[in-house]
Formats: sequence, structure tokens, C-alpha cells
Amino acid sequence: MANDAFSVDWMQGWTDLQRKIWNDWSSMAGEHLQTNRPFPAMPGMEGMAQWPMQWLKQASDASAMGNAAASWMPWLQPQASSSPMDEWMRMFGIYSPEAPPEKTVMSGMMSAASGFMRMGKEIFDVLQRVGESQREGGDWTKQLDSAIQQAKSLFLGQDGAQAALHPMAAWSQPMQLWMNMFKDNPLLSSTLLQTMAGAAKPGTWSQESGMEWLQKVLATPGLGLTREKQERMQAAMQDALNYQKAMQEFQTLSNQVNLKALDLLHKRLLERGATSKPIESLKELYVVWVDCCEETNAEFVRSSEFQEANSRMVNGMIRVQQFQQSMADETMAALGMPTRREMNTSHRQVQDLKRRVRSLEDQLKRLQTQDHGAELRSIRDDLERLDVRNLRHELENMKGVLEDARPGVTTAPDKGTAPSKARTTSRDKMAVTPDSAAKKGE
Amino acid sequence: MFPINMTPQQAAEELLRFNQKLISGMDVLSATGPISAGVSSREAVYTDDKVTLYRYQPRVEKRHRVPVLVVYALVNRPYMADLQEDRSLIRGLLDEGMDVYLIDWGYPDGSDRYLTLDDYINGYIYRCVQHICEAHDLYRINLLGICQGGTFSICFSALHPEKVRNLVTTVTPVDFQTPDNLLSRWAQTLNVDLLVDTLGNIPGDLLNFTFLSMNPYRLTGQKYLDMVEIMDSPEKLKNFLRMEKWIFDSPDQAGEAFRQFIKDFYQCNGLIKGEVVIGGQRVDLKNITMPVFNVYATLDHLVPPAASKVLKDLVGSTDYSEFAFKGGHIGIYVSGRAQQEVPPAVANWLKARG
Repeated sequence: MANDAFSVDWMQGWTDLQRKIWNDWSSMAGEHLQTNRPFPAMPGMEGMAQWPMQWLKQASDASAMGNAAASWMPWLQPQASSSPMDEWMRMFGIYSPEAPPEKTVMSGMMSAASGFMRMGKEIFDVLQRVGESQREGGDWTKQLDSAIQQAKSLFLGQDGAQAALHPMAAWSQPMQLWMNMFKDNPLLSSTLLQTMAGAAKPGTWSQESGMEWLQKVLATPGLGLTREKQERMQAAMQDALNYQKAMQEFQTLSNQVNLKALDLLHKRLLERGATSKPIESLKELYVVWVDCCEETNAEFVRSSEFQEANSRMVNGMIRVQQFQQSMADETMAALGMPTRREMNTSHRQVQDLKRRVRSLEDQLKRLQTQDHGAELRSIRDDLERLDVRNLRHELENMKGVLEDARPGVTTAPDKGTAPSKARTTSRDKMAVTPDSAAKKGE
Repeated sequence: MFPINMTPQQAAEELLRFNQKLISGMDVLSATGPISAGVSSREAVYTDDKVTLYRYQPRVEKRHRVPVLVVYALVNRPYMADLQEDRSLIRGLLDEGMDVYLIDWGYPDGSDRYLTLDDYINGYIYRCVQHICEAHDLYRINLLGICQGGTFSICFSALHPEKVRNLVTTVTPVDFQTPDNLLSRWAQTLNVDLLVDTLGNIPGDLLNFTFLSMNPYRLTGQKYLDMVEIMDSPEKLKNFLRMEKWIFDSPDQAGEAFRQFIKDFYQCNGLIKGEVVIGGQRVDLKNITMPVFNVYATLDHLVPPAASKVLKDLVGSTDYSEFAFKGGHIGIYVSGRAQQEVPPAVANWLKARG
């Protein structure tokens, strides 16, 4: 076998060198992203081609490259965080609020590449063991079983399956993390936190009894001047606990998906072993592994179990964030600074005003561009229908009739014509004229 | 036989080759420079708050009489329709003689959290349409909606049918609750009131996270490993990075509009039930009597074909056509084959209708 050519000392030397290379590389990448300086030549890379085996050894060094499980699940890399949302998104290793966009590509590539190399190292070890086993007439399926079990153990933690899959695993988050959320709040007595911290010490506190005690504390009614605030704080602490529990439940479920994906990979490899189409490269194996993960994940994310767990986690996170915002508002108000609530009110009012202004602008525009000619024509038509001239004549006639009929009043008759007759003729004529005109128009 | 036909030496050599590619690729990566997107010449002809209406420079002398307004989604940026010279829906339409306008929604900030769908559809879109109508002395123009922008275009066409001559929808969700719609499945249990009341605007990164969660291993792992394979080609690497830029260039979503979209469209499936109300008016799809061209992608995992095709039975139009593109939600705009198929299909359909 090829590894026979390498001595242990030589491998150790290369391990150190490769660790240095990766460290330099990572720091240069970070530095480059901050300064936009081009990458200098990689130290020690000239000799790289001569010692592939040491490089593999280095690749297996979990302390230099990160969590060993990440080689099988490169997207699950929890990190510290400042807000529930950041923490939640960082949990998946695909988001960092501080990172510039360029860094997403760089970190994504580095993460995928290092994961691939670690996987390569795992497979390299398997291949070595299989080779040795076959030389001794052993069964390769046992080697494969062993490799899959080893990969599974990375997800199960030091305590094995019970640690990750135990129903109470959701409560196993360190109390410290939870307490950090509230330690700076003046409404919580330091005694309470100290008591909790003491209770959380190994050997003095069990998960179940600790939680029971905590639930009692949070259910105790507040008293005195700050009663309302105490109550809000208790509710917030309960929300924080719920969120932590939901997040841990989600992670536990995710781990189960990973374990299922490994089972599927095992199955696929056995199937390939039974056919004459073996896997010919590490990249091909990586793609098969990703396919297994995606297939398992697709089933998981369509399940009601996922939806419920996801909803609990997201809603829990948002509730905690809501509380943090209210605390921030109280602090800002105390400092005489504008609060988020005030800003929201202003934004809403500005938006409402903009709508009203636009509505008025539209009305104004409509009025300005209206066809006044058409309006005038319409009014004229109405007036014609009313036959104002005729009405005027009619009125004059009626006036004349009234004057004629008034006792004791004498009127000089029109020359050559009886007044009453002339009026009648005139009215009739005027009344007929429009109709005649209309008929003419036809 | 053992399913992995490799010796340890071969495995080591493959890793070595990979490592060497990675190292040499880093030089290429660092020399790539800024990534630009959006290649066609254009001019801002109208602005309204953060919204900009662009008119693209014509590329042929004889242009179609009726301009087409591209309405993009609020999610991600519209330059996806004009990503690079050989991958551009816009350029394809220009080459076909279309007079193309596009609405760029900009990047909403805290002051926009109370923008509603009414503001977007009866406000911004209406005013952009009005501007184009006045500029061209027309009563009606053509609308082309992309994804959520297609849904907005449908709503607009139903509310203002007199302003739309022809309606083109591309990868547009209409039925938001088809069984194969994973996004919808997730949206059903989302407490959107809590989300919007707390966050205000919805961070673009949150939406990105959601999209990545649909294929997390492929999109956050394998994709970057594949990238190492092309790092020795500056051109291919630039293309990759351009797409990467687009994926993560995600504006925040105006809170109230997001709330309404999730509730009325995803959770109530109101569009197909005729229950969506925008600006006090019910969106009745039977009002869509103008010709409709519905383009969908057969492998779309975000808007499954069934979610789009249902439009046929809901509109009042007697002139309804479909075009099925064999590809995915993004491939329909940026794949090489899409350039040959989609813009000519859209342009020919529009030209046939005056």
C-alpha cells in the first residue's frame, strides 16, 4: 500500500506544516476581505505535491479544521451570537450578519473544501483498512459498517445516542447561556441568578428538578411597586426557556435526519457494491452523500414534525427578540432617545400622510385635466331643454293677462292687433320652433 | 465488491489535485474584482419614493408600438432579468424589437414598513403604467410579471383592466396551496403577525435562509465544491459569482405588504378564491379579459407548474396561451437555452396581438 512509504516522523512534520498552511490561509483570507489586498503566494506550497499523505493526516486534525461532524454536515456549525435571530441563522452556518457578501462566497467555499478534505481523509482511512482487511481475507462490509458507525458517532456526541435523542436533551442547554440573557437586568435580583447558578453546578442539580424549580419561580406572582415589570420579566424568561427548548428540539431532529442520511448512504454503497458500477472518485462519493442528505432532508422538511418544530423555534426566537426590543425601548426612553415604538408611530403617520397627499394630487390632476368644453355643452343642452326663451315669453304673457284682468286698470291696445290674440300666437310659435328644428335636423 | 474502486494513493492524489486547484483558484478569485450585473443600457425615466422606472435603450430600429413593462418580485433584485450579455431576458426582448420598461423596487428601509399591497399595486405600479401611457400617448400597455411580480401584475390587471393590453406572467404563483409547494407548506404555520409586529420589515437574509433550507446540502456545500472546479476559468468564475451576488442581494421586505401577502395569498389562498382585497377592491380574476400568456417552468421547485397553470380556468379572457419551459425557477431566465426560447416566445405572442 502507498502509505508504507511514509514514516511517522515525516507525517508529523507534514501535519504541522499543513496546519500552518491552513491557519495562514484562513487568516490571509480574512485579512484580504478586510483590506481587499491580493493574496500573496501560499507559504510552503511548493513542496506540497511531494507529500500527499501528510496533508491527509493534517486534514484529519479536527482541532485545526473544526468540528469533526462538520465533515459530514458542513452546514451545521453553531457559533456564539448577539441576538436570537443571529444565533438562529448562524446555527446553520450559512449566515453571518457582520459578513460582507464577498465573505459568503469565500467562507462557503472554504467550508465546503475543508469538509470535502476531511471526508477524503475518512475515506482514505477506510480504504486503508479495507485493503488490509482484504489482504487478510476479511469482509469489506464490516469495514463499511464500521465507517458508517464512526460517522454516526460524530453526531451523537460523547455520550452516544442517548445524549442526542433522549427526550430531555432539549433541556440540556447550559444554564449559563440562558442566564446571560438576563444577567444585566436590574429587575432580576443577583441572588436569584446566583441561586440558579449554584443549582446548575454539576452534582447539585439535575435537569428535571432544576427545571421544575425554575418553573415554580417563574410562576410566582410579583409583588410591590415593580409588580408589573416583574410579571413581564417572568414572561420573558419563560419565553427564553421555551426558545432554547425549541431550538434544542430542532437540532435533535436535525441530527436524526443526519443519522438517517448515513443509513441511506450505507444502503446506497451496498447497492453499488452489488453492481458492477463502483464509485470511482471522492467527488463522486461526495455527490452520492449529498444526494442521500437531500433526499432525507426533503422527506423531513415536508413532515408535520418539522413544521411544528420549525414554528416553535421561529416563534420562540421572535418572542425573545420582542422582549429584547421592549427592553431596549425602555432604556432608550430613560436616556431621552427616540424609541422604536415612537419611530414606528412616525413611520405610520408619514405613510398615511403620503397616501392622503397622493389622493389629493390625483383629485387635483383630474380637475385640472377635465374637459370643461364638454361640461359647458352639457349645461347648454340642459338649458335648451328647459326652453328659457319660451318660458320668458310665457311669463310676459301671463303678466299681460293679469294686467288685463286687473279691475280698474286700462291698457292701451297694440296697434292693429288684439293684444290677447297676438300673445297667443307668439307663444304657440315659440313653442313649436324647437320641435320643428329637431325634425329638420333629422 | 467494495463500492469504492480507489486505492488510498488515488484518493490522496485526487485530494491533492483538488487542493492545488483551490490554491491556484484563490489567485483568480482575488483578481476577479468587483462583480457587476445588469448589462443593458437603460435610463431612469420616473422615480417614486424608492421605486425607479427604467426604460431600456432599444437595440433595433423598428420597434413594437406598445411598450412592455416588466414587474419584478419584491424578493431579490431585478437585474436577474438582465444578468449578463448572453443571459438576459431583457436583452432578448430588446433584440425582438420590444420597447422594454422595468420597475426597480429599490431597498425598503424602516420608513417603508407600512407600505401595503395597495401601495405597491394601486400606487407604484399604477403610476408607472400611467407614466408610460402618457409618454407613448396610449391608453394601455403590455405587462410582464416575474414570480411575485407576476402575481402583482395579475392583481393589477384585474383591478385596472383598462390599462393592460396584454398580460404576460412568468413563473407566477396563482394557486398558493398546491400539494407540491414546499414554501406554502412552511408558510401555513408561520405566525406572520408576531414576525412583522416584532421585526417590522422582514430581513432579506431571513428569506434567503428559507430558500437555502429547501436544499441545504447542495446549496451550501456541493455548490462551492463545484465552484473549485471552475476556478481556473476567470470567465466561468465571474458568471458563478454574478449569480452568487444576485442570490444574496436580498432587499428587506416591507412588513405590512409581507404580512398581507403571506396571509391572503399563502395562508388563505385568496387569489383563486376571489377573496383578496386590495385598496378596498376585490381582485376578481374574471376581470382579466385581455389576452394572457402564462410562462411556467416544468422543474420549478418554488412555484410548481400546477400553481401557475390554474390561471387558465380563472381568468375571464378568451385568449389564453401557455408556454412550458423545461427548466427551473431561475433557469428560465439565466440558462443558455432559455435565451433561445423564452424571449422569442414572449415577443412573438405580443407581436401577434398588436
